[in-house]
Amino acid sequence: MKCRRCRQRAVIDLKSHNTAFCADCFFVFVERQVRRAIKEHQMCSRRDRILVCVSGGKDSLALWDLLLRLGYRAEGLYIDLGIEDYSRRSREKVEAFVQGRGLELRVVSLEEEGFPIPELARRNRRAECSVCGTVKRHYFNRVAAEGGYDVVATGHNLDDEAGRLLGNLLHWQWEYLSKQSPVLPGVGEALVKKVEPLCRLTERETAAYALLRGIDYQLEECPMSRGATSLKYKEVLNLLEDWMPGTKAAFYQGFLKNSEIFRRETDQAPLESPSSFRCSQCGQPSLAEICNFCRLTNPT
Amino acid sequence: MLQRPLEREKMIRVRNRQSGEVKEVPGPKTVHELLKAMGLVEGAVLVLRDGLLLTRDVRIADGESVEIVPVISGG
Repeated sequence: MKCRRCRQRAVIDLKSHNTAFCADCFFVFVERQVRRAIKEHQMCSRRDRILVCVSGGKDSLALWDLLLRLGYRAEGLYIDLGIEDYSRRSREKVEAFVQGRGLELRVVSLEEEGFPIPELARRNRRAECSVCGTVKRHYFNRVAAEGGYDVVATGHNLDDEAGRLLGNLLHWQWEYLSKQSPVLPGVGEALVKKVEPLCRLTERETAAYALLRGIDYQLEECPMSRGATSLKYKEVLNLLEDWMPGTKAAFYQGFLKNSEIFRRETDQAPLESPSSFRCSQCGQPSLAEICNFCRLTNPT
Repeated sequence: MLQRPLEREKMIRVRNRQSGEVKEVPGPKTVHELLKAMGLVEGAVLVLRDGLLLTRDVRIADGESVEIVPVISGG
């Protein structure tokens, strides 16, 4: 197979785009997809200070690499989840990435904070992934707000978002559907804008990008995520994609074009004035008196 | 009389980079045919030979080794 742009030997074929690229032309393709996502959804500008949330996996490290290559001011945040050897190995990958490039990294250790994820899940009798999501969202916003960042960027890709959309639709989660977007606007100084610049790229594309760029990422899966339903949704979508290339992108992009329908149907109270919607314990934005994070970490 | 051991049939050696598991699949096969024979979906993996990514049309001969890199992650 030859590269569609330069006719050299291709290293990756993309069935959904009916094309194939050599490494250099694939980099051009990936950067274009990220630039397009940023522009289409007005995610950030080159003046913004961006906090990239990195886990040591392919998506977040590829995202940080891409934002820097595209000229954005991006610093990293790593949350050590306290999942024994898995967290230690993830942290090593992130630190190696940072050292090799002389980058700025902030680290939050849940072990040091007093609530590693496995323990917090046990204490609250909740699933680890659900507890982990709440804790990560809390620190993403808190570290960004306290550090004066304009934008929080995460490595969610097309597979993540299409899988999430399928799950939300299968269970008619209207509230979640109304909030699903590659951009969540910030409000005042308390709630920092959140963006997903990889939303046009599949997991296979971000993995290929990381491998071709020589980014040494954590291949090992989180032991807590075994059997997670989100993985099942991704599997189903990959089967559909195999039969009908382009289905995944059409599904998610079609939703984004029509997502207004879900926003109209839900009667949600916007966080217009974050000062009046603060958690009484931690001071982070919250519609309830005590936020979900504080309920998990300080059960009364 | 001593019996000669049966000569082991040469096959494609496939190593999963994530799990370390190794399987042998009869060849020759294209990457597309190999993944199909292993029950894998193309969107869920990348295939490498000698550290280089392969497109679905590349032919793999018996006796060659390839690596499968699963790409689906998350919880």
